[in-house]
Amino acid sequence: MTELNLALPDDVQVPDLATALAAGLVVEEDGSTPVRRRYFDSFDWRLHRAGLALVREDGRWRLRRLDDDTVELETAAGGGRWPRFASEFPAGGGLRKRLDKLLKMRAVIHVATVAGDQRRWRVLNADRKTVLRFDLTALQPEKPASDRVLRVAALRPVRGYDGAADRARAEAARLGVGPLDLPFLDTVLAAIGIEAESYSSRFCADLTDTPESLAAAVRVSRTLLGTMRRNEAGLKTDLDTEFLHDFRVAVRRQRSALTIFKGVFDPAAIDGFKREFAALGRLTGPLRDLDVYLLDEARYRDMVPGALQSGLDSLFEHLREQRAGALTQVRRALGSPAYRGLTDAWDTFLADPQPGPIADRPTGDLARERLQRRHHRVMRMGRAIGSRTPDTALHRLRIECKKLRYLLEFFASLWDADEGKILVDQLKDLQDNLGEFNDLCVQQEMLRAALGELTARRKSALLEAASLGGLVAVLNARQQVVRGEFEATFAAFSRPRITKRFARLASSAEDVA
Amino acid sequence: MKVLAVYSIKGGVGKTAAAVNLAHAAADAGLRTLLVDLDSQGAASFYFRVRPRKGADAASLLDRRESVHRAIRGTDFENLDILPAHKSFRKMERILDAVTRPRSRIAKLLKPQRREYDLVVIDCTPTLNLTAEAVFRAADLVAVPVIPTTLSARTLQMLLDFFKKQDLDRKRLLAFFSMLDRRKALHLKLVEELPAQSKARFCRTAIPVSSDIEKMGLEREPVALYAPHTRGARAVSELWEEIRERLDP
Ligand SMILES: Nc1ncnc2c1ncn2[C@@H]1O[C@H](COP(=O)(O)OP(=O)(O)OP(=O)(O)O)[C@@H](O)[C@H]1O
Ligand SMILES: [Mg+2]
Repeated sequence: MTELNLALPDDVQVPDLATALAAGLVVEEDGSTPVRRRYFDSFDWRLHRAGLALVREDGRWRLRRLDDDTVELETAAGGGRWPRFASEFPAGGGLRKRLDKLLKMRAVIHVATVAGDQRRWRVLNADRKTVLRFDLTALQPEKPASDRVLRVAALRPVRGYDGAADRARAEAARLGVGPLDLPFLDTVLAAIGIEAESYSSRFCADLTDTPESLAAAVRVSRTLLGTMRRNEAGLKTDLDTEFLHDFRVAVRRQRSALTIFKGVFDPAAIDGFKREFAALGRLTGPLRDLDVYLLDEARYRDMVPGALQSGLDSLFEHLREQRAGALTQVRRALGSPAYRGLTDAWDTFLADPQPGPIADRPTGDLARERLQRRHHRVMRMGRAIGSRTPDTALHRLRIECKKLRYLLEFFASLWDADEGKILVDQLKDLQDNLGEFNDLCVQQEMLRAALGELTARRKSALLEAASLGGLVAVLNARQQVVRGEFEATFAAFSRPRITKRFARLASSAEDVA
Repeated sequence: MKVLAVYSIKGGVGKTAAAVNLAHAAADAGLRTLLVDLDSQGAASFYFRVRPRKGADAASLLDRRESVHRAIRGTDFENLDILPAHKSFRKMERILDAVTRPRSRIAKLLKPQRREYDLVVIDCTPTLNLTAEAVFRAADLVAVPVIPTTLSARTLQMLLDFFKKQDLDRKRLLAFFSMLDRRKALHLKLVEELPAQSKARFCRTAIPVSSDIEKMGLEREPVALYAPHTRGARAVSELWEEIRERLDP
């Protein structure tokens, strides 16, 4: 029998609880210790979503299960700076490996700190043998602060004395003390007014109560503006790379939304916004590209033979320098009156949008027509691509697929969720192929540019050139393979069964009354 | 998982005291330890205040109707569990005699515990029978307390002969002097001479006769707990160090 955590209602007194848990046996207090728990998670709540909480307490890092507050794994915390990325956590107890799987490239940030104390008791039988241990932890949110005191009782059964634990549990139930109905962390968060999992990089907007296209377009745009704004702070402090990524995706989705909802807003009124969002995308592009190279550093190094690996040192050093410059630029841009002006103006516009010619068209109707149109366009462009078609056609198709994907996401609330997901998955396979192809093109271009700059930059250029050349060769070979796979990937996507599904999905877009 | 048996043909020589104190020392050093009390008198179980579960009798455990796993109970100490003695253990010999391959039965019952424990310590009864042989075959090391008297020396020789006759590895025997009284000339003489004369290996550490160890029956705790800095407790911890080196658990 393992540890069992119980939630303690505010009106239960400690002596009553102790008496109840002893269930007629002798109970002795064992002492108490101060407790401070610091909770961490990524900005997008990756740990919480996995049902876990990362806690620093008692000089240790613990990964606790949310549902019952038990410790899944733990390790002694090292000294030094607070770790941010999975790789900076101590490796002991499998913690680093587990966090790496969960967090990937995301940093952890402080969520909340609670402090208080833990009192411990033992229940003794007639032989004065300990047959059950229990403790009571009373914690108060400290940062951010709150007056609420949250109490958890933990039963720690002794092996072979299940009876004592069973009786304790039954007695506790009579006092109204039962298993946690809400994760302890969530109780803490509720006390300090933080909503868990309140951010996700996935687009989510409910359009079932926006019967007219104008309201739907506003809802979608508001959601995206919110995402942009929420990522600004983390982007500027450069907490991790995903703030920029999510920010850019929101900008791109916003631009797509303006195309997908074409005619819903007054075209003349949004023309300027379109241009400015495009400029915002261009402005943040170089930083994202550099992030992608640097995130892939280990993979690149693995691609060249051992003897050539050190030749990549200066490339990545150079990229890191460039990234620092690109970050300064992005920071400056986001701090500028121009950017503030754009988001404020967009906010103002959405509060009182100028309607376009089809503003009052039923949302379901619009979704149906636009989905059909986008799908047809992807089909047409894809079919036109043969083995000799220039690469640019694949790039154009990639962008078209992205728009189709965004459209599926924007209107997802209007059609059957499972059906929508099936088609998104189908589309994803195609997007993955096109995305990888594009990445390989861009990466080779970057490497060729780096090769071009070599002589001017370094004396050890010979080794570096060999490494870069090796890398280009590997990437180029991969690019041929990926290009070769396009045909089969597109064939899978254009199967009649999938096409029929798209048509069915479009016609199912319910007209919200 | 390593198995340490504490055994002697002679009774009342400090087997149980040694088994309890050594098991506690091992657990204290971080080894996940299981103490198996094979003596139906249940002295070791008594020291830890643990009584057996109802169904966990010799017959059920030996023919595996009752799992050893379920019969094990937690002591008050971290890392230390006990398989408490049951009254029926006095019928152990007869029951064991009836099962197939009795000599390997105890090893077989312990094997599944290897995931949970680093060390098993077995406290035995002072009888040289089938049960003892099954314990010897399960053990990596058999620690033999020897009171420095001529009678004890003789019973040690009997044990050596038994090992030889049953083709058991005598290197697994490790004798140590127990209840050594330095005021007795005969004790001191035997401590000098016996290790050289006997074919058994001896530990350097001897457990002295100690009123602190004797009090275990009253305190119902390992000596290290209520009399930590006494000669008796120190000797136990030195003995544990020597045994740990030999066992390498
Ligand atoms: N080092 C010691 N000094 C003094 N008394 C001791 C010492 N070790 C054990 N005793 C006491 O001697 C008696 C017998 O000890 P113990 O029960 O450990 O021996 P045993 O070999 O297990 O006996 P049995 O053969 O009956 O199982 C007990 O009363 C115990 O308290
Ligand atoms: Mg005994």
